[in-house]
Amino acid sequence: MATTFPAIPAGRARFAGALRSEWTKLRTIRSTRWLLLALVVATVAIGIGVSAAEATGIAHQSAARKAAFDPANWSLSVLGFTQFFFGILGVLAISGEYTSGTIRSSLAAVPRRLRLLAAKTAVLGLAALLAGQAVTFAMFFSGQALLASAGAPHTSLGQPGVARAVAATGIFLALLALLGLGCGTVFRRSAGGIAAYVTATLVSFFILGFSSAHLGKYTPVIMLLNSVTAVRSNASSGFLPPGWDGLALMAAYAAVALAAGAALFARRDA
Amino acid sequence: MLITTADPVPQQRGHYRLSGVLRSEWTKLRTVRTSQQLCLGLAVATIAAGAIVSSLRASQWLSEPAARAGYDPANVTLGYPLIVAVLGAGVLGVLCMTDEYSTGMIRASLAAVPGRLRLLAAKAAVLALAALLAGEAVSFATFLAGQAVLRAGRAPSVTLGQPGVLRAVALPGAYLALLALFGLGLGTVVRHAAGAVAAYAAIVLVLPLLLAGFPGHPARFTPETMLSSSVTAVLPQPASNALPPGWNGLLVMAGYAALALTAAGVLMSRRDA
Repeated sequence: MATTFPAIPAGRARFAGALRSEWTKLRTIRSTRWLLLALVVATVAIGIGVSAAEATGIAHQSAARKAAFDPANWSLSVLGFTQFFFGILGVLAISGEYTSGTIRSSLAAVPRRLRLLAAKTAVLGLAALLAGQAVTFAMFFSGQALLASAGAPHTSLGQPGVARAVAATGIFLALLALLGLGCGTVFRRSAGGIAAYVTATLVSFFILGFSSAHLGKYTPVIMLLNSVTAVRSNASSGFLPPGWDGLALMAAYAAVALAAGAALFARRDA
Repeated sequence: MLITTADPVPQQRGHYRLSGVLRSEWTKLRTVRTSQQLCLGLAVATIAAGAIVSSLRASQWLSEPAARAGYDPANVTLGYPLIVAVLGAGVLGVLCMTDEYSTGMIRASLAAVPGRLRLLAAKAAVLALAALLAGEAVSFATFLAGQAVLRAGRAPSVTLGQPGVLRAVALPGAYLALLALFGLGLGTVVRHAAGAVAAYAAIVLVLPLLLAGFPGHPARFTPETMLSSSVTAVLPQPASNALPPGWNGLLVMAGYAALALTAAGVLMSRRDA
């Protein structure tokens, strides 16, 4: 006797569906949810702690150094180091699927690999952008409040270039999360992905940043520290000018990492 | 009907003394492909970083007189380039334990060696020895390649025979072994590769940067700063009141590694695998 199976509806995992499933994963996987929350809280808490430790010192600096002081840059520059959490979020967004084996169900539901990766990139990018803006604005306002209470020079969002520096920093953090996603896709393992991200950001900072201003200014951490978060020009010290240059270059780095990830993802077994 | 069970096959009594455990740990470390590739890749990257930094610093020495103050050829070739190896040593130490948890191997390991501290001690001993040998090899190779690049760039270089240089090249190998043990401790406490590697990178690479502006210079006691500014130095380094060149940094790092391993031993003997 022939057994008849109920007809299976044709797959409907178009891009909108892929986006929805990625959003469900990001929203409901407990570890990512906690990681996102921890990322915002830890980044802001560490930033406020570091700023609080330094604010009084700035109030007591000489008049010449106070005149050259860039309050927006100062309140955001700790993010050059705490950006680390954003990279980990990006790595885990894909390596977590390999650790748990979900990647096989994900690819069964969305067999087009590039579509899956594109949906993941879009959802992660948006979540990281929101988290990045939240962190950046919180750091800015708390940093300015600390400076004001210490009697040091401070600034507000209405001053020329300040709103741009704050907003661009949030976008930069989202791009770092995408760099992490690229690293995680290439390595498929949390440890390898995180090590690659740390190499691209922190190790490159230590190695090039301290030995050559000429090459160091193109490393992600130095672009964030001295160009994207800056309002006053640091160009005389050999850094990229404040503005969009650093952001554009960072977007290119993230795109290269994602392209490498996509090329490997499309070819390899899961 | 009564079923008679055959006499149990006489089992050989367990002979997993420390020497046997050491041998099994050596087999694990030697045969896991990831750690081999990781070590080899990062060793090559460290030597390459040393050559690149040396070439950059040599041209600075020639063109900018300001770059000559505090110029220490041994520290130039080792100080920052070894940070690549620092990452490698930590990841190796972490994976040495977390791989056992992610594959489930830890249950087989503990069935074979129920004495948890014995297992941890054997793992630490084998890891430390392997990391020490690899660390010395990387440190000496990075130094020799870097000095050759400095000489080729017509900047001052040093040889191993000059006072203090041998110490500055040999101690980093031991320091890397201590970092691997620190990673092993973190990996045992956290039991997940992602969390442990993240914690290691945060403590070793992020912390010194966060503490840089703090009053009292606490950053000089962080693992990266001690290696870059004290252990690999022959001349005192100006950066952020660094510890003097010599053994101090190595001893502090040994303290950190011992703390991490103690926490690991306490947690491992209490928790389920």
